[in-house]
Formats: sequence, C-alpha cells, structure tokens
Amino acid sequence: MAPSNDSQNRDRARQAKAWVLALDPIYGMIGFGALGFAIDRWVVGSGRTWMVALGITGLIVGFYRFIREAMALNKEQTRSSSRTDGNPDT
Amino acid sequence: MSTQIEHNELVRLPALLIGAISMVLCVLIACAGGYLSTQRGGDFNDGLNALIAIVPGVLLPTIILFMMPAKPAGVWAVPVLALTILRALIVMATGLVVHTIIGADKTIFFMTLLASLLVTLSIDVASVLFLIQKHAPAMHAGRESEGVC
Repeated sequence: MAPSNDSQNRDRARQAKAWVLALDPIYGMIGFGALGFAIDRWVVGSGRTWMVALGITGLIVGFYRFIREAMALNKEQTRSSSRTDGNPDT
Repeated sequence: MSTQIEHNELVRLPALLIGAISMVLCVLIACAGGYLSTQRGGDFNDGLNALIAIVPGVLLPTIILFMMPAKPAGVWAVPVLALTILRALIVMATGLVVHTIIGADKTIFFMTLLASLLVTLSIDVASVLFLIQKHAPAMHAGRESEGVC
C-alpha cells in the first residue's frame, strides 16, 4: 500500500511542477498587466499604455523563466541518460 | 441606405466567448484522450495531462485578443492568424516540457494536443468568417450607393 501512495504522491508532485512551469507566462502577464492597469488608472489617469507595456514585459519574463526551466530540465535528463555518457553538451 | 462608414465599422471580436468554447472543447478532447488511453491499458490522466499544455495555449491568445482595440471585421483575420500560430508554438513547446516531466503515453498525449489545436484553429477561422459575414465589407456599400445592387 505504501509504495502505491508514494508513487501517487510523486505523480502529483510532477503534475504540480508541470502546471507551475506551463502557467508561468500567464501569471507573469496577468500580474504585470494588473500592475500596469493600476498605474494607468490611479497614477496616469487615462490610456492603456502601461498595462500593455507591463503585460508584454510579464509575458517575456514568464517565457524567459519557462525556457530557463526547460533547459535545466533538459540538462538534468541528459545527465541521467546513458546514451550521452552524462555529458549535458552532447 | 447603408454607407461605407457603416460597413467599415469597428467591431470587437468576442474573445472571451471564443476562449470559453475552445476551453470546453479542449476539456472534452482531453477526456476522450483519457478514455482512449484506458482502452489501450494506460491511465486516464494521460489525456488530462495534455490540458497542462493546452490551457496556457488557449488562455494567452484569449487574453491578448481581449485586450486588442476594435477593428474593421476583415482586419481581425491577421491578429487571429498570428495568435493561432503563437498558440501552436506555445502548446507544442509546453507539451514537450510537460511530457518530459510527467512521462505520459506519447501517442495519446501528442494526439490530444494536435486534436485540440485543430479544433481551436477551426473555431478561430469560423469566428472571423462569422464576423466578416455579419459586418459586410465596404465594397457592397459602394455598389449599393451606385445603384448596382
């Protein structure tokens, strides 16, 4: 019974990691966009310039994080693979 | 009598409606993928895991389309096509990473992704065509004003 629970927990942890990784650009865009919206509304008073600019910034930051995580994951996988003799640059 | 200005009126794409329909259909496709996986002796989650890659791919273009200002109906074709390409790139890139992390059944996982992309592409095309049909281009107005129609 214990190994089954352990395996289920591992599956959930991997799913949670995948969700976090996949939603990074969305969180970035929504978070920065909301900040821009607040600046447009309460500091500038009109327009959507800050919302669009910060939304795009959030998107880029989110994608940067996604690509960095994906590359780290790829290196980790390569290191543990017998086909590449553990050399991540192979 | 309709005028050119009326026919070139600025319209907004119903981005939230399109996003909601896409999302519901993608969930149904993921469930179908899960069912097929169980038929092949796999796990129902293999289909549902594809949603991890599909959800950001549907959400992101929906948010961007929602933020866009109103345009003439025909002009919407360009941003919708661009965002469809962006969606395909996001879903495939995220899908590869998710598959590496989770290690789901490759066939079911990627077939679910591709089926979802096909359905969302159809919805996007249909929405733009519907919008263009509803707000006819200015050519008709010109002909009408000349008494051709």
